[in-house]
Amino acid sequence: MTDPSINLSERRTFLGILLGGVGLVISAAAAWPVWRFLAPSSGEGNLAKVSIQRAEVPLEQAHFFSFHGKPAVVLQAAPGKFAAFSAVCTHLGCVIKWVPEEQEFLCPCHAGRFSVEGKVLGGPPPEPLEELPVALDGDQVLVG
Amino acid sequence: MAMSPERGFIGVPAYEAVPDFCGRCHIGVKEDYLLSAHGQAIAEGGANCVTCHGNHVVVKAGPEIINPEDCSQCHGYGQAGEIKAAIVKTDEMLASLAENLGFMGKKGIAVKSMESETFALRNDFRRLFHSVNVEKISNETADFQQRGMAIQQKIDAVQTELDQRKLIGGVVTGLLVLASLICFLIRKTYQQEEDGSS
Amino acid sequence: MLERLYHFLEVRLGIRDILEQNLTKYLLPNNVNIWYTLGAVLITLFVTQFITGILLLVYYVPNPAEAFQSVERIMNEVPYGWLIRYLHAVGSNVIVIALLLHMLSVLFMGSYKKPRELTWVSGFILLNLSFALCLTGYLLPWSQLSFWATTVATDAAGAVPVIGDALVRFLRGGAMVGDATLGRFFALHVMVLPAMLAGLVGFHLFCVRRIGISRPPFGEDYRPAEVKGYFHHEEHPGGIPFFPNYAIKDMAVIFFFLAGLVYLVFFAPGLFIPPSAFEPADPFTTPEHIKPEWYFLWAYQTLKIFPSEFLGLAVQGLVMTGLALLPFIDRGSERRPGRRPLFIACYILGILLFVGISVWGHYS
Repeated sequence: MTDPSINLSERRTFLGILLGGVGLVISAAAAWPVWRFLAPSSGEGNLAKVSIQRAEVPLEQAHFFSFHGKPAVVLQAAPGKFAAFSAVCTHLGCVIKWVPEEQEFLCPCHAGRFSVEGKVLGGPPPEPLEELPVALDGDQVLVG
Repeated sequence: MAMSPERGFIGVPAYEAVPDFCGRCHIGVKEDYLLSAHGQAIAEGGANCVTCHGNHVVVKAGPEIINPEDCSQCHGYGQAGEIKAAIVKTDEMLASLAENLGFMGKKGIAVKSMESETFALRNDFRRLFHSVNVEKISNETADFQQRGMAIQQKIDAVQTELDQRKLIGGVVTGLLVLASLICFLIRKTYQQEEDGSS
Repeated sequence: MLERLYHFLEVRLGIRDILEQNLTKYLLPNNVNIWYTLGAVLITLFVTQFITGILLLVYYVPNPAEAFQSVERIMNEVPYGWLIRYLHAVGSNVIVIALLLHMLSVLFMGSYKKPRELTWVSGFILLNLSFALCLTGYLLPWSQLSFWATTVATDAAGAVPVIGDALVRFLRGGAMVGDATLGRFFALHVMVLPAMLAGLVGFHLFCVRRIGISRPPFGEDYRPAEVKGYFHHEEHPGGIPFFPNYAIKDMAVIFFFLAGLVYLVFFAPGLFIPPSAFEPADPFTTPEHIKPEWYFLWAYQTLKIFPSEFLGLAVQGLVMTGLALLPFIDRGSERRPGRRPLFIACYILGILLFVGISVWGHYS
């Protein structure tokens, strides 16, 4: 206690550092719940199969559905032969359409064309459609 | 006046008609009762609903209505006692489940599905022991125990989380109080400076 | 890099000057006390309400068919939804406490007096806007509590003579509380009232800063400031700098209030959120013992004390108008509590009356 002013400023620095530390912990404790509150639900890890009534996918027709939160399509190209794809065009992410007259998929954004196997027939798409595994179970079509 | 048939007053049902009367609402229990030794013997004076539950002052029944005094009016207490021993624990457990769920619901926990599960379980259990079949009861009680335990585990999980929340809440409250104290201490250093300079 | 950015802004905006004028060279009276921190506390609490409110808006659905369910989802399924919701709901109560303390300290120290009438009036309107926010927010979860508290509260407007019925219908958007009520309360709660509140807080702070902070009327050397006939910013030469000397005290009390809020959220949310808040609204079943929130109990009870509802409403209106216009009624320049015995007697009596009537309302 020889020089009170130095003593005070030292104490203040110490307390300031302490406050900074506590403040940091408190901020983290406040930010974490907000982040979790807003973070999208962790549906990504959902590996459940999606089942579709077989009657909903007639011959030479396509059925669009939501597969783990993303658009997907299942089609019956030949009797009893089912195939499923992600319905997201590999070019810029538009959702493809089924054109029954041509028996092919068309992306309405930039006229990308895909075959019934998902292969690129024309237009700008760089890659074929992502294929999804399909299995038959009685009158159900299981995708995933 | 109020007790006139025109106004829908049925009057005292005949002894054998009592189960039909009560069973208008307690449908499941009536079914099991009618198949039981009690129900089968109703024509010979086998116990009907009011024998055990009383009339007019019917209150929520508990295991205490199975007792030597009442049962031995017709038969020995032996079998009745065995039944009571077999159901009392499970009955208490189901009752406490319902109570715990009610308590949690008042704190904003979504308990509706667990509540209806418990309600159905209790209902089935009551049906079971109205069969007054010792063997059947002791065989099936274990299953009810297990199903009750499953619900209890869900409740425990929720309770554990609530306790955890309190722990974290306590820590955060403590940190905030600490921050407040540090600020006051820093303020004190300025205060000393101000007092010194003036 | 940061230095260059600072320099860029400094040349164009003169930041250093702004900061100096408002922080280090902004001098507060040297006998400034802890009650002066409540403004900063309230700003922090209101900001908390804004943030939690926007977060709740992400998941809340303002539709009578889904509102209750959406809140139940927030409470049970959304991660930390319960925390955000409780912070918002309990926070509103803490704000009312802080508002009342702020008002009571200003009354006790006579800080509302000339030339600070506008600060007082804007503050009083802010208090009422906060009450309106509480009332409108109360309905949104569409629980039994929400529904019937709103029914009772809007019903009180029916006591106004002549236009009473029309007023009730206007508030509710129909004869009874229903879909239309939720729609208009939602719009008020999330858009209209917060916008008005933010604007008025700005004006309130502008007044405080423009006319200068008032000197607490305590201590040997206190003399009432001379009120001039022209604009004069009250300076406090030789006072203490706002930053860092007083700001750290603001921080201390802010942390204290936040600690209280968090404590209530985690350990006693039921104090403000009774069980009937967790039952969905049922327009055909009135729950027993329906009571308004604690800060409305005084109004609820006065309506019951007087022989006619109109009389009760008139008395309430008179009290509120009197408070709003207080600086124009109480015009003396003396601010020292010791030299204002009549005012202080009314002050204490008023607080006792408020508490007494509220307690009576709670137990009646």
